Amino acid sequence: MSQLTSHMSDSQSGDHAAAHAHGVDPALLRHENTHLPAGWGKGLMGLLGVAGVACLGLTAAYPFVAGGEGEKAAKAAKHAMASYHVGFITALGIMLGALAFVLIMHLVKAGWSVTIRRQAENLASLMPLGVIFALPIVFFGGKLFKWFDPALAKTDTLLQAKSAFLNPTAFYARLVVYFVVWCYLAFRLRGYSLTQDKTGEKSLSNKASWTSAWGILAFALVTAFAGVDLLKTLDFHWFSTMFGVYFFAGCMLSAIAVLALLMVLIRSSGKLEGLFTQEHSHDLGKLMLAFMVFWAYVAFSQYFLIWYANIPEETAWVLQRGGGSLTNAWTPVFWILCIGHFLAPFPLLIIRKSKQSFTLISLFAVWLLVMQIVDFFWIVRPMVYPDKYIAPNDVVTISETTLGLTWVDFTGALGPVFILLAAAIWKMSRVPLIPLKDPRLPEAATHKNYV
Amino acid sequence: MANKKIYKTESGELVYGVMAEFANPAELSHAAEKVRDAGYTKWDVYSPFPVHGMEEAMGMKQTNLPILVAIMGLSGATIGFLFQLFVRHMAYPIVHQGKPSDAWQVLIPVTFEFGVIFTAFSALLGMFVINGLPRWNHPLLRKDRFLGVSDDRFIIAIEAADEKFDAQGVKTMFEKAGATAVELVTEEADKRKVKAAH
Repeated sequence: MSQLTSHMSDSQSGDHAAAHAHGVDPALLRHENTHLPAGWGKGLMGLLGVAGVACLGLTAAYPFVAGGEGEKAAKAAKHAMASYHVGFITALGIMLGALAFVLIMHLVKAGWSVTIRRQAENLASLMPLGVIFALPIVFFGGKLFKWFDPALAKTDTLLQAKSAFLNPTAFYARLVVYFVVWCYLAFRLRGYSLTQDKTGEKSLSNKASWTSAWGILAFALVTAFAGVDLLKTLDFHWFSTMFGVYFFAGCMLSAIAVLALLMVLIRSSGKLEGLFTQEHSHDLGKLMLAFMVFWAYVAFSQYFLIWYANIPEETAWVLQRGGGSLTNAWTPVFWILCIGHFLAPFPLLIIRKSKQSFTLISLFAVWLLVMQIVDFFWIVRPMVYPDKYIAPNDVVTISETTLGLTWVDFTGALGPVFILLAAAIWKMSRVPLIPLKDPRLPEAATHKNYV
Repeated sequence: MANKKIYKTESGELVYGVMAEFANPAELSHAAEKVRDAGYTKWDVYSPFPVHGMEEAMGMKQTNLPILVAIMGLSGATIGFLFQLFVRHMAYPIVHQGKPSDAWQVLIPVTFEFGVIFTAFSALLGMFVINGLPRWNHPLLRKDRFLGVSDDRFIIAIEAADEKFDAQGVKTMFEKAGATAVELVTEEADKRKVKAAH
């Protein structure tokens, strides 16, 4: 085809084909279009960073501000820790989703996404931030995870049965393995990409594909386990075989939302003209829609099986979160998730314009990111003000649950996310905005969704 | 439509349109752009493989099919939901597995499947209707030259049904656009139609 199309020169379709044959229009790759000036976005970064640190500070201060003694103080500490956990999981999820994005795109040798991939690489390589965010668990994990308590292991039959897996030492060991795998994959893949920027060596793309091939298996295993360890064990009596996938679906959705926001931010500062177009935004929007639907699919599958089987060990978790026919304080949150996380955005996001317009896709991205925080909030927070403690053989009671929503829920959830976004903006201006010499860059530069 | 012109050859055959062959996909693209710019609406391009950028060269507009599919999909899901609710809750309510007969949870999988099947079928059937399918024959298939589009030929055909159609004008335009051959295509002789045209 290239010989035939070389006849074309003066028409639109001619340019299109010529770009395929000869690489990217050098004007698009000029330095000003593919690099942000050093120190770019200092204001935004400072704002997000300060807001993030302030949020974290306030969260840490909450137990002291709330005051009280004995049980009340313990509850306040638990509340602050749980709120922070929501933010930690959201931030970690964004990084994990970004890493999955890079892995998938290398694995399928995707062309269209090359101009987006660098931002995903940047996000994933912020993984050490995830390690820092995880530190409070090391110090205050006992407030979050009931099973940290050695006394409980003596009395709780289920915990005794699970104690080989559910003990702090094994938990920390697993966390280390998770972060080692994530960091290794993130740095290795970004390293290939950055080296290729300088050398233009095409074989690096193949190496990245190869790494992604085994990497995605390791990633899937580790991430599913992490979802179980960090979220599911908050209620260690409960089990769901769907939970790892549920966690991954949420991570992927929030990562794509953040990627869309970052790309629109770059584009609105006048960079990547012709390299990130409404065609790329359209495809990113499609992925966002797809993972939103996937989240709903997995969430419903999990809920539906629990509802149908109606086994107390499983239903307790859902009943506590307002998903039963008896309502409690969490019922509104349950319905906010059903409607806000799927039913309402679905018919809107399916419209082509919503995905092509930079303004609209940013609005959807922010909305879905907020909904993802609500999702993690719904998973984590009921543990602070639970129903009567539900032992497997007890009758399930849905007594006066309260949401107990205060400002710390907002500061805790937003702090880590703000800091992550600030760090992502900091990374943006330090490296080229796209993989400059990726062999599939021409494909991305001429990417089009036809009618 | 009232004063729609009907073109016939001197021997009285109905004219389907004019087709032109082009040397390669590039020529084909350029010619398609010219046909597009001349404002023709009832025409098509035929090639052995998809040609990049042809949608633009032809000035193709987005189809309305998605709107039809969306409406059908939503109606399908609604019908599936209501039908189940009617059967389970009103027509023949029985308690099974201790679940209330109006539980919404149990209706979701079938509602989803109804939505999917209505979407899929309306997309397929809608595509058939919009494209005028199925049809058993096509005037272009009577031309040996045309049969080559499944091998190595690149062809554009403008239908006589197009409002701007004028056999001589179309021929001149094709020749200017670099056609290697231009042919008149006639409908299969159908005596009744020809008579009616008189």
